[in-house]
Amino acid sequence: MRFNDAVLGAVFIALALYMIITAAGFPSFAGQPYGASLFPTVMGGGFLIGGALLVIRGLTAAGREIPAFTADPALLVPRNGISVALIVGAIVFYVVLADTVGFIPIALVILLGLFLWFRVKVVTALLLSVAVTALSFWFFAIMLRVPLPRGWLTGIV
Amino acid sequence: MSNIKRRTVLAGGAALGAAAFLPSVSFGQSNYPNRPLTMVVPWGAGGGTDATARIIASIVEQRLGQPINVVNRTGGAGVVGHSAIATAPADGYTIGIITVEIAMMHHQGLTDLDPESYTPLGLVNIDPAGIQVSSDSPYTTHDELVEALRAAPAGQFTASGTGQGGIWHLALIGWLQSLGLEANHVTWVPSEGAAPAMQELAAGGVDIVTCSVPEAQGMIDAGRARSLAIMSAERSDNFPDLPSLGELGIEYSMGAWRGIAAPAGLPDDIRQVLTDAVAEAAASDTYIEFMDGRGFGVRYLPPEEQASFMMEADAAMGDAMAAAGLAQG
Amino acid sequence: MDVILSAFSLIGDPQVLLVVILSAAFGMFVGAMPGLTATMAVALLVPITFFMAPVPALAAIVTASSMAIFAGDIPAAMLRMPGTPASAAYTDESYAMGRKGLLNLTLGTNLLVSVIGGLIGVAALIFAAPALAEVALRFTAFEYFWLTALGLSCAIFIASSDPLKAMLSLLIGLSLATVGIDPTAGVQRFTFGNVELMGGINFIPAMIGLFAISEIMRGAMRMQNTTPDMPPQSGPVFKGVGKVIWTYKKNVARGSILGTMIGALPGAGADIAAWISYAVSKRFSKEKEKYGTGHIEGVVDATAANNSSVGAAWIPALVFGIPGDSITAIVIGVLYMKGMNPGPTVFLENPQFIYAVFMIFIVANLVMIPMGWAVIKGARPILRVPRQVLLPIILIFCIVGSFAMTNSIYGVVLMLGFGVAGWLLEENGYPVAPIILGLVLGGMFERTFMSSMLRTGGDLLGFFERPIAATLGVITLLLWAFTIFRALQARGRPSAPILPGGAG
Repeated sequence: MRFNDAVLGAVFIALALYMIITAAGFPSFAGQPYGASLFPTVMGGGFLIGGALLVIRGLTAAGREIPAFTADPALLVPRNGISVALIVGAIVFYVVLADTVGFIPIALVILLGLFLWFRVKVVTALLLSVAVTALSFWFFAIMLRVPLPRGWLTGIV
Repeated sequence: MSNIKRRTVLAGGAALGAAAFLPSVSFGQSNYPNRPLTMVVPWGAGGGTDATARIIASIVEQRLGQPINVVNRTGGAGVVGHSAIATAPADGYTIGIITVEIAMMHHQGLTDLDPESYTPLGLVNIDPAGIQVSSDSPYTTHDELVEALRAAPAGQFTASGTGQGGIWHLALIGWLQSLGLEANHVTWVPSEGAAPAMQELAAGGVDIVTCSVPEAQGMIDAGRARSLAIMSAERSDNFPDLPSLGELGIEYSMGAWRGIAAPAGLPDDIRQVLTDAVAEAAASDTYIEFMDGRGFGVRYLPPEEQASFMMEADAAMGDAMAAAGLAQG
Repeated sequence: MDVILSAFSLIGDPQVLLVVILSAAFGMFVGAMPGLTATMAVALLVPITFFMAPVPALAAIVTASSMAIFAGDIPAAMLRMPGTPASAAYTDESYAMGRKGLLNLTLGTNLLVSVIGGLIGVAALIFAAPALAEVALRFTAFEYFWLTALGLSCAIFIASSDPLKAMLSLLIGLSLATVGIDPTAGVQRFTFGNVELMGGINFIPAMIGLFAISEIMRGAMRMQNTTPDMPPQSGPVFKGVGKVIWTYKKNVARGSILGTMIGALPGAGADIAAWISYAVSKRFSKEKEKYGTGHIEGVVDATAANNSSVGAAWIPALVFGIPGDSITAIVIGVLYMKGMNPGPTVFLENPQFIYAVFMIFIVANLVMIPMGWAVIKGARPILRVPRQVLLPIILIFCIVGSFAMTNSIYGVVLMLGFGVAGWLLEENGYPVAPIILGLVLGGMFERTFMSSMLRTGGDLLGFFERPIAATLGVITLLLWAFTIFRALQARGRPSAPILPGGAG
């Protein structure tokens, strides 16, 4: 997904304005003219100048030829688009459900689902999902005591 | 306990049916805990609070017969970890170590949590603030330093130790006030913690560091800094050579403390099990040796006293922060 | 002599040797696994070392940290997923080399130069600890401010194609570093009242997202494209490495010395060391134009620097009890645990332990050669694993790795956000490495700036009053002047406004 420089420039300018306006509300040190707002304001100023330079670049010279938005041709193949969405979806799935359901079932579903979508043979996919889930849980949760969520399996593993 | 009781009952020739009934009578005590516990630490792995938590956990877990996983939930000047403890289910499977910051953060408007958001299980440590100067400094006693402070215009001296509004900043403010000086008589230079502040002190960047003595020990041993006094009523066994403010005729004490706690609303039977285990841990040789080795002050207060101690600290912190213009709302 | 002998017997203990081997394997594995990081390797060791005897405990940390810093180079070169922020400085360079079919050369060089750098850092620790610690003690907020300013400027200076976009990336990182509780005033910024955001943005999940997740997304998009991203490689690992090291022997020395000096400064670790060394290398190279296209020279400097700083970071830790980086912060805790309170007295009271630490450092660096060789050999077949199998597995490791840094789901959320953002930025030609540098150094940059301002009462000239600060300040300003001059020259548009400095 490529954007014309001017488009991203505008985004940076909007971000800069947001930062500067929000920062204006931060309290300053007692008796000093500056404080918590100084640094975000300076950063905002940087975005403002950088964004402006981008807008100029996007609207002049060679920049004018570039459309506001171009999608990567590979992404327009439906299957590829879905693959990318599935990666993001898998992480969202984990974020939403991991605390209640637990690491083990979620990791199994993510691995199996992705393997099958990517057309790994069913038997291989099953074996690999089980092995990777079991090994990673053993190594991190048991050996290294990372508190991976147990969820449904609380008290069992 | 319950095992012995059960055996006595059986030996007494009670009916088998009654014996089978026993476990459910003392349900809370004999079944809790039946799976591993989590102890949340609001500060990073390897630090003083982390070490204290781990050593306590190692003793408590032996007594409870279930492992305790120590989990560091860091960031936000302690807000993240303290919230994680307070908002966990009050089932006895999540406990945590709470620190002096819990009596400070809500005054700053960082969180709604205060000492009452927890079920106290025992205070295990108090470290008084110390007053440190560089070894190049001309002041060798507390009184010489105070004299120079009084003579100097406001803002000439600088001090450091924590971030703005942190525990050692409040220690400085309270100390200045007890001397009859303004809260901003000494300019506070915020630092990321005691160690960088001590480095600034040795490098000549600041004049005074008001962190606890154990945090300053490395630099003191290296001959780069010296401690002039500790901010407590009485002399500490850990630092027999240092005068306390109380001895110097100043009524002011301030220190950092650590206590074990569970979320508010913990059932009484579970609370009792944990309180006993923490009390035992705090009195153990392992714990005392460890704390002495680091120069940390061993001080145990049972839960009721811990609760009132925390509320007093909370009020004192509120006053100091209001005086320094650090309190919000 | 007696001390050295008793130190020898301490580390000659079979148990200690076993710990060295196991933690070496552990450090290599975690460092080399995409999605897992060196920082994680050491953090996860703490609970395990907590109850060990002093020498094995220190041996575990020394060995695992040395291994992991090197091993982070492996996924960087093979998959473009750096294992540590210290490898991020030259990830693109070594990945470009791999695509040219030079994977063996780059990894072999990384390994041997890391060992040389590591040994030089240890030598400094052994012979010059007190003197270097002395220098480190002269650093106040002013000096640190200029040092971070210099480190940050390097990110823009080494950007080969588009300094403007590199600067914007850096600004993104610096801005994100302000999220959370303000380090100096203690007020909330950009937290939206969210408790997790108050804790700030942890740079490890951010790095996993920016590099690994965005790379997985790109991989998923090219799933049907059967040509591999990188030609599979075989053959000896060290072929041609000797020649590279000989050709760039000055770079090895320069990188190691810079890394040692920066590592010995409390708070500035392997990350700054790698960036500054890479920039210095480019500045003084005869072949500047090759940088960024798969040229080994800058990698030599930077890989030497980040390993030499590992040993050097122990200098302030042992001499003054001040942590040199996040790893030695943990080490100091362990030293106290074992009743070896750091400070000059530790050299007098427990000299055999200190010598044992030195020897473990040497052993660890030597063990790194066969271990690293085996890991490189073992990792190469990964290039033959089909993408459809590899990507989901790496994804799971990324999730676990991010989770472990915050011990909460928040780490995974951060990783996701940065993953999507990294993918979009990359598509539009924005380098992502400067974001990481900004995130890592942002807090220190602001803190040192604010405390310097508080101290001078807002007088900027005060930033140049101390000699070391003035020197660093002038170098930083010259670097900016040079970069702007070059940008203007290239563009031929003298009316372009002056780029804003994080510099003052």
